[in-house]
Formats: sequence, C-alpha cells, structure tokens
Amino acid sequence: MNGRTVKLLDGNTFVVSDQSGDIEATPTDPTGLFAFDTRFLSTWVLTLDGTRLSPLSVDDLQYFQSRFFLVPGVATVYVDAKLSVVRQRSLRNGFVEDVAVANHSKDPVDLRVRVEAGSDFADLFDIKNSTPKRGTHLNQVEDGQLVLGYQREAFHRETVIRADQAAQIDEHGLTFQVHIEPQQRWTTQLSVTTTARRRGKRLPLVFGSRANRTSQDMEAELKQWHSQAPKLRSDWEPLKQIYERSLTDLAALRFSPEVAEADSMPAAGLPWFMSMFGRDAIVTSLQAIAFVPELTATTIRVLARWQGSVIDDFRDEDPGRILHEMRYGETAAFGEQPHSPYYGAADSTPLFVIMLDEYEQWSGDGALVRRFEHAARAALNWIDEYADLMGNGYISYQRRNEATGLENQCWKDSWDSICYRDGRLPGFPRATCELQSWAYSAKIRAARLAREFWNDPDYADRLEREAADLKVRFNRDFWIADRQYYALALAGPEGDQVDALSSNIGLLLWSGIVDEDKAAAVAGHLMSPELFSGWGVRTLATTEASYNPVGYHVGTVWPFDNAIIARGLRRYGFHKDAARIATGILDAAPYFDGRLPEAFAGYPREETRYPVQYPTACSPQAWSTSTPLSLLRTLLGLDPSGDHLVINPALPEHIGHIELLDIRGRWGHMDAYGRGRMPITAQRMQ
Amino acid sequence: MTTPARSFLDGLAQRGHVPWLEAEHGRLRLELVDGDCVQLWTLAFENGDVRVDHDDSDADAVLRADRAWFDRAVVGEEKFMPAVLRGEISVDGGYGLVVQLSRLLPGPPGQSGPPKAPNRRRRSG
Repeated sequence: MNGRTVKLLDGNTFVVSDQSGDIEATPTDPTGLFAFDTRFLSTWVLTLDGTRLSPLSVDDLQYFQSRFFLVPGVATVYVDAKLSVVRQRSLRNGFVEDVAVANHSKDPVDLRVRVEAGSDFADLFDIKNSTPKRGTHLNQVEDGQLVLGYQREAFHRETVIRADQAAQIDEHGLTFQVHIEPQQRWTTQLSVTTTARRRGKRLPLVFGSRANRTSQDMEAELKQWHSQAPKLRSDWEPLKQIYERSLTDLAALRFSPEVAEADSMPAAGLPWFMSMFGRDAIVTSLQAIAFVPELTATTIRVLARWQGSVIDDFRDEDPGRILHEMRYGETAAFGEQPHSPYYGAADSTPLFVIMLDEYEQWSGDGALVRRFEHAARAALNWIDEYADLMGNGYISYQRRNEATGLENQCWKDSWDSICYRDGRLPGFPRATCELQSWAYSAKIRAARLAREFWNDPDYADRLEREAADLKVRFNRDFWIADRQYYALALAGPEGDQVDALSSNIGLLLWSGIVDEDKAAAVAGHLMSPELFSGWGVRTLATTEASYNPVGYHVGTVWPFDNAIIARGLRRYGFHKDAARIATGILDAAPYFDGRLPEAFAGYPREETRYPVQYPTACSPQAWSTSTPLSLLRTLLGLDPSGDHLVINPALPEHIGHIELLDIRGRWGHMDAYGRGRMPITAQRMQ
Repeated sequence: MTTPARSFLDGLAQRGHVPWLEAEHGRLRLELVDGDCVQLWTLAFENGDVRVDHDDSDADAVLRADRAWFDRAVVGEEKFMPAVLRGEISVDGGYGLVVQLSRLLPGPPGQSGPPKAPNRRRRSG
C-alpha cells in the first residue's frame, strides 16, 4: 500500500488501511483487518457510482476509532464536490463502520454505493514468508449477510459482513441503490465480525471478557486508565505529549490472552507482534510499573500459567521455562510454526523472577509472591538445570528446533546479531553477557523473596552464594582486559569470548553484576562516539565489522535498550550519562508524534539532524511505548525502599521543572518533584 | 476397558499434591466424546490437589474433545492450544484450568532435550 497508512488497534485486533479507509492488501504487505494473527479482510473498498474516494482529512479519534472525510474522484487543489462521504470506523470484534453520504447540491441524486470485500485469510507468517494457502476459500451470501470463509480441516475462520440498510449482496461485496434529496444524507452501518466455526457453530473469535466492548465502553475505560496514572506537569512541553501518547498506546496494546480472563497484558507491537511475547511483556510491564502497575500483575499470572512443564524440542520447551511467543493463526494451529507457545528465549525466565520481586517492592502484594513461589522456584531451577548448556555455570542457548526455532534466543534475536569484532558469527551454544546479568539479579531478588515470604532462609543463603559466585566468575570470564569492556558473549563448545563492542554491556549495570572498578570503563564505552549516536546507544559500535546503521540489531538504536542502560548508569552513579541518554531518546520522540518506534538508525545525530526510523520498525511497539515512562522514573530517581518511595531527581536543565503526582504503590499515593540542574547541551537542537 | 485417557485420569487422582498447582482453584468438566457416547469427568483443583470424579457436577469450565484426541494427548502426541485453534477441541468458560490440565500431560515421546555439557558444573551449596 502506497502512502501513509491509518492504523487502529485494540489488543491483537487491528486494521491498517489507506487514508481513504480502503484496504487493498497484497499477499506480502501487512495491511487489512487482522485478529489472532489472521487477516480477515484483505479487500475493503468503497466507491460511489464506481468512483474511488479521495481523503480530505483523517481524524484519529481514539486508538480504536478513526474518521475519514472523503470526496469522490481524485483529489486536486480545487475540490468542488457535490457529494462528500464520512466513514467512521471503530474496532469491535472486527470493526463497525458508519458510512454517511451527503448531497450538497440543489438537486436530488441517485447513486450506487458499493463496498467491495474480500479476504485471503493469510496468517501473519504467510505474509512474512510469502507462503501459499492450503485450505479452501468459500464466500457465500446468507440471510442478508456476506460471509467470507476459509477452511482447512476443522480450522474454519469466517468474516461476517452486514449492513443495516437494504443491500444487494454478492460474493464480492454489497451494493446500495441510494436516493438522496438536496442537502440530505444517507447513512448505513456496516459491521465486520471476525469469527471461528466450531462444531457447526459460528462464534466470535475472542478470549476473555474484554471482547464485545462498545466504543463507549472503550472510551470510558481509556478515561479511567489515564485518570489512574500519575499526572505529569513539566516545563518542557514535548514531555507531556510524549507521556500522554505513551499511556494511550499502552492502553491500545493491552490484550487478554486466553488465560487472563478480564485482565490484560501488553501485546508486543504493530503489525508483526500483536500477540503475547514473554520478554516484551515483562520489559514493558517493568518499565511502566510506576505508572500502571496492574499490567505487571497480569503478566506474572499469565506467564506463570503457561510456564514450561515438559521437554519439547519443537517448541524449545523445558520445565520451568517462561514462554517466548504465542501465536493464534493457521501456521501455529497446524504445527508449521512452533508458537503454541514457543519457549525459545533464554532471558524471559530470569526476567520473570526479577519482575515478581520488582512488583512486590512497588505494590507490597506479598500474597502474589506466595502464590507464585513455585513458579519462581521452577524458573530458578531452569537456570541451573536446563540453561547451562556449556557446563560452565552460565545461561546459554542453542535451539533444538533447527527448522523454525530461533537461532538467537536473547533480545537481539535476528540471525546475525551476535558476532565477533571482525564480523564472524560464533558457534553454539551462545551465552550472551546480559543473560548472566539477569540470572544474577534473579538470584539476588529471589533470595529476598525466599527470606521474607517463602520462609526458606536456607534457600535464600544458597541463592546469594550462587549469585556472589556468579559475579566473581562473570567479571573474570567475560571481561576483555585489553579492551576494557565485557565480551558480548561466550560461545562455542569451549566458551570463547565473542569480542564485539555492543550495547549489551549497558544492560549489565542495572543488575549490579559489574564490579565497581570496571563500571567507569563500561560507562565510558557507552558514551563514546562509537556507541552513542547522540540519540542513544547503538546496538553495535561503529568500529565493528558488522556495524550497519540500518542493521536490525547491528547498529540501530533501540529506545527500550537505552532505557535499561540509563537505569543502570544511575545505579552506578553516572547520573549525567543517564540524563544524556534520556535526553537523546526523548528528543527523538517528537519526530514521531511522541511515539518512539521500535528502532531508529544509528547515524550520528549531527549527520542527519533528525532520527531516521528503521525501515520496517513496528509502531507502536510495547517496549518503546513504555520507554519514556522508564526514562521519567530514571530521571526522577524513583525507587521503592521498604514502605517508602525514594525520590532522587537528576534532571537535565532544559526539562526545567517536573511534577509527577499520585504515584501509586505500597506507600499509597506519592508526589515527586524535580528541577533540571544538569546542562545537557551537546548536539541538542532548539 | 482401560484407555490411555482412563489411565491418565486414574493416575491424576492418585498423583497427590502438585505444588505449582496451588495457585489454581476451580472445577473443570471433561466431556470426552466417543461416537454417540459422552463420558463426563470433573476435575476439582484445590490447593495443589486434583480430585477426579466420574460425574457431571457444576464446573467453571468445560473441555470437550473426542476421546481419541484425548487418548493421544495423554501420551504427549497432541498439544492443547493448536487443537483449540484448529477447532478440534472446544472450551467453554475460562481457559486457565484447561491450560493447567495440559501442563499435567507428558511431553512428546522421544525428545532429545537440552544438550548435556561434558563437564557439567556442580551447583555450589
């Protein structure tokens, strides 16, 4: 689809259309109406007397609702339309579209209004991989409605299209013969419902009780969502826009997977990742914890319910492992993809334990920690018993599903992300450095939980001993003394150091695994021109052979990565460096209407003057959406301590005064105030 | 006649306490369809114990499947979620208990599992 697209989303249902509201998807582009990883509409075109419509404007009313103002014909500088059309589209188990045709002339008009509809029922993986369908398509007209269908064995998906005005319905659309008096309007409401057939019955394809909400319900819910979040006041105007955008996008990304009942957790990102991802959901929830703590509680509950229980090579599942990805489309249903769910992530499991502790520290919800004691223990057991593939005491990964499993099971999960300085790719297993940092943090935090909630001081002692031992070994085995940074990974059967300089070293600081005497060197590398672009820390340094400013994980800047790095820098006392990173990332946001994309290019800031979006970046992307929230937390220095909230601001001068009011937690409600005192001027544009 | 489904359910009743199930409470009805006949079972999850009754008492959720499918599932040859997505089995009510039941099933036969490191390090302590 050419030109800008209009996106509506609510959890894992979304519509991507052109500026007229039309959809003409090709097999390889992710436009259309999607639900549960399946495209339910690939054609949806409105015409008047066979003429296409041109957009005058589009109002994004809400994340789930848009209004298109249109006129017939090709838009020119001079528009003198006798007719105009308004389409208002709202998501609801598919979508509902109100079409109004207005006659602005002095004479009555007779028109043929036509909606062309079709669906290829592509699975998102068909679109990614351009694979043909194996089932049969069947469109039929029944009881005044058009049903677009697709069936493969008992897998049966249908799109049901209805109108509230009389229409001639054929297998490719609906036609209305319309008479409109002068200065009058004709309206109809079209509904497009995504359904599945089970044992002959047609049912809406939904899980949980969040389904079937009306626009009014969703609007009320969104209002409540904003009213429960802390209020932000800031002298720096863009920050407020970024903040409100983040909260709204997080609301839009909430989705209720099958085991969440009425609650919701964040889906990972539009359009490719509108599903449950362990790592993304955990990082997003953690980054947003000071603002919307309830996301974390649901994420804990849902991921625990799906915690691995058996050895399953196809799904890379082990007992205790936390899932990586769930998919609901045809390829998962028929075992052509392993996401049912797939467990190939080496970090989700320690991150799950970190999340449980962090949630208790904020909420004081000891009952939840007790309830998920066994899930946490199983996760910790996975670290020791299933993840140490090299036998050297480190978490490493090597996929067992060679056909469709992930080669890299860390956050940089593209095939070429883990490399040596000279560009060679290492062998397997691979133990990336940040995995050890998560393991360290998980053990330290679980020790606290064991002592305070699980009544098991022996276990707590053991975890602390193991963590201390891990820290000593890590600082010995990963440290590259002559380069003064940590290896990206140990890899291959011998566990050789993979020596590329990468953003991964920044993720080590947050856990505290970095020896005090090495922290300054790490911070120095992070802020060097090789890693810091002026907007943020690049995934890979410019000095490395594989560096590519538009390489997915080998040179781009990822906002969420930077948010974690900034927190780590503050932990080690590098307040100014943390503020520089926060400033760079927040400065980038207004170029994207306050919505940080998944990644942007690694070009030096002084070269491009604006952040260049990575070509196929997802947006909104959950952990980019929560990044500004995390940066705010870092800048204000918000940290729970016992039953109190510590506030220790370290703000850049240009941000001026910040107030964050009504921060919810075990302390009740607290307000945080800060004033920018640090001059961060380098490379900032006015 | 003993079927894999029957053996599994008998085993479940005798399995005793399952610590990770302590977080789950509720009653799940299994409807196993065998031709014209439907066998009904109720699984009561309570504090980590599972009580299995051959009856049709009230339940929070219902899982309906062909007995042949369930026979395969209890020996690790079928997965729950793909079968739901394929429309082969159906769930009424919440999915929470059904997913927990699926976690009590064995994994697929003949798996290699994580590679064993030659000099596996012993955990300290």
